[in-house]
Amino acid sequence: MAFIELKDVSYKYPYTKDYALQHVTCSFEKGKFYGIIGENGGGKTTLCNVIRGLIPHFYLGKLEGDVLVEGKDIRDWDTADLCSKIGFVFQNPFTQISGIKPTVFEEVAIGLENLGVPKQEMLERVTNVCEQLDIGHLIKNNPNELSGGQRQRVAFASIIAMDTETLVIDEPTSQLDPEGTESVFNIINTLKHSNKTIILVEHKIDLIAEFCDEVLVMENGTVVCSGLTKEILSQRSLMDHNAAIPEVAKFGHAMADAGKPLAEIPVTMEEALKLVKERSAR
Amino acid sequence: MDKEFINSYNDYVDNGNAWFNLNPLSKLCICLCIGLTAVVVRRWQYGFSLCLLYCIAALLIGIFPRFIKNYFAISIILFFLTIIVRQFSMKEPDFTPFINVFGWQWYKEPFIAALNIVSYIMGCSGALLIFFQTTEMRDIMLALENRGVTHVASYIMLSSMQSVIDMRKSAETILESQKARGIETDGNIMVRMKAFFPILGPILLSAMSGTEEKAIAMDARAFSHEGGHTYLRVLRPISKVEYALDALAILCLIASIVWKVLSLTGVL
Ligand SMILES: Nc1ncnc2c1ncn2[C@@H]1O[C@H](COP(=O)(O)OP(=O)(O)O)[C@@H](O)[C@H]1O
Ligand SMILES: [Mg+2]
Repeated sequence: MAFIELKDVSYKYPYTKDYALQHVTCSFEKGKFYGIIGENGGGKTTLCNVIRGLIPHFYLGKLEGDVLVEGKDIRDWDTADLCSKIGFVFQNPFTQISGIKPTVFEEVAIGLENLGVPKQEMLERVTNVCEQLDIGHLIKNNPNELSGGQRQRVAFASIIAMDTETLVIDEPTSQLDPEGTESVFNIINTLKHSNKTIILVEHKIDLIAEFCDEVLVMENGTVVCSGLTKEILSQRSLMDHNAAIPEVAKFGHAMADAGKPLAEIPVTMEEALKLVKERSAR
Repeated sequence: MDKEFINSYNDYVDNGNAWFNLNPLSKLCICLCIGLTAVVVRRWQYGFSLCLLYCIAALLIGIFPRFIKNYFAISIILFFLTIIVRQFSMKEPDFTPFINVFGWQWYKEPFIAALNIVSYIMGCSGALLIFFQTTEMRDIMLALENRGVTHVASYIMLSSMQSVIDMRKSAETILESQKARGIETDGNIMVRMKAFFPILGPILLSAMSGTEEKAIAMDARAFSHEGGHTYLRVLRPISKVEYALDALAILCLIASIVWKVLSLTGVL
C-alpha cells in the first residue's frame, strides 16, 4: 500500500480564483526517493503543503478529492501526529530557526523536546545528527548568527533528529550560495542511504537525476507526467512543459539528431560516460 | 565535537555561581521583596544603605562593572531631576535655608523629600537590576514552564525578544545601505528621524512576512504536540536554602510594612 496517496485532488487557496492544484492523482511508496520538478508557480509547494497536512489544517480554502496518509484521510489526521510522521524542510533558511534557542545544539533538540523524548535519548540523537550532518563544529554557536547555508543545515538537523519516516523537502537550496548548496546536497546524499521516504522539490535537475527513484513533473497545477527517473528525464518533451532536462540528456538527443545515437539517452554524467565509452568501443 | 559541552547538558543548568544558579523565581522573590522594602520605608537613610548593599552584592556576585554602569546612569539622572523639581515645586515660608547654588537658594525640606524619593526608587530598581542582570529570560521562562506555564507562552515571550533584536539588526543594515547611497543618516536628531521613519514600514513588514513560514516551521518541529514535554536544559530543583531565603525576604518585607504602619500611627 502506498504511504501517501492523492486521488483527484484539487485545491484553491482562500481568496483566489484559480486552482493551485487540479485533479492531481499520485502516490508515494515507503522507502522511495521522489523528485518533483516543474515551472515556478506550477503547484509544487502546494502539493507539499497537501502532503504535510498544512492544507487543509493550516491553509483554509477549498480542498477536493482524497488525500490519504497511511490510508487515513488527511482531514482526520491530527497535525500534531502528522509532524512525527512527515518531516518538512523548505526554502527560507531564516524562518526555519526557532529564534528562541541560543545554541545550535539546543535548536536541533527543539522537536525532540516538544515530542517529549527522554533526555538521554535526546542527547544521543542530537549528537548523532550533528555529527552526521557535519555541523558538530557549530553546536555552541548561536543559530541566529549563522549564514544561510549553515542555518539550512541546522534546519535539516532539527527535522532529521525527529526521525520521521518521510521527509518533504521543498527547494532547500534555492536561497543558498554554492557552498551552502553543496553542503545541503551532502545531506540529501546521506538521506538517500537512510531508507526513508523522501519527496524532494528541486530545480537542480542533475541532482534529481542522481538521487531520485521516481520523478513527477508539474505544470499549472497538474502532474503532467510521472514515472521512473530515467524514463522521465530522458524525454525531450519535458522542455515543452517548462521543465529542464539534464545537460547530458540534451547531449544524448543531440548525438541522436546528428545520426550518431548512443545506446540510450543518459540522465547522469556517469551513465553518459559509460555510454560514450561503449559507443567509441564499437 | 565538543564532548564536554554536550555532557554539560547532563547536569543542571550552571550559570556560574551560587547567586546566578538560584532558581529564577526564588531570585525574583528575594529581589522583589527587598526592593519593595525601600518603597515601603521611604527613608533616604534606609534607601541609600540598600544601594550600598547592592553595590557590595554586585561586587560579590561578580557583575560590578556592568551593574554600576547602569545604576550610576539611572541615579545621576534621577538625583538631579528630582532635587531640582522639588526645589521648585515645594515652597513654604518656614523652610530652612540649606545651600546657595550660585545665588539660587535651596531649602532643606524639599532636599530631604527629594532624597527620600530618589532613595526609594534606587532601592527598588537596584534589586531589579541585579535580578535582570543575573537571570536570563529563558531561565525565567523555563522556571515558569516548570510551574505549569505552557511552552506556547514561553515561545511568544522569547521570540518577541528575539524579533526585537532581529528588527534592530535589519534597521542597521538598511541604514547602512542608505548611507552608502548617500542619504544622510548621522547628525542631529532631525536628520536621524528623517532617515529612520521611512524604513520603519519595511522593517515591520519584513518581520511580519516571516511569521507564516515560522509557524509552519515550528509546526514541523512538533510545536503543537500535546502530552509530555521534555527539556534539554534542566534547572536545579529549588533547595531548602532557597526556600529559607525567600521566606527571609518576605519577612523583611512584612517587617518593613509593620514598621511603616507603626511609625505612621505614631507608635514609634
Ligand atoms: N499562500 C498562498 N495563497 C494564495 N495563493 C498561493 C499561495 N501559495 C501559492 N499560491 C498560488 O498557487 C499557485 C502554485 O504555487 P506554488 O505551489 O507555490 O508553486 P511552486 O512551488 O511550484 O512554485 C501559484 O499560482 C501561486 O500564486
Ligand atoms: Mg515553491
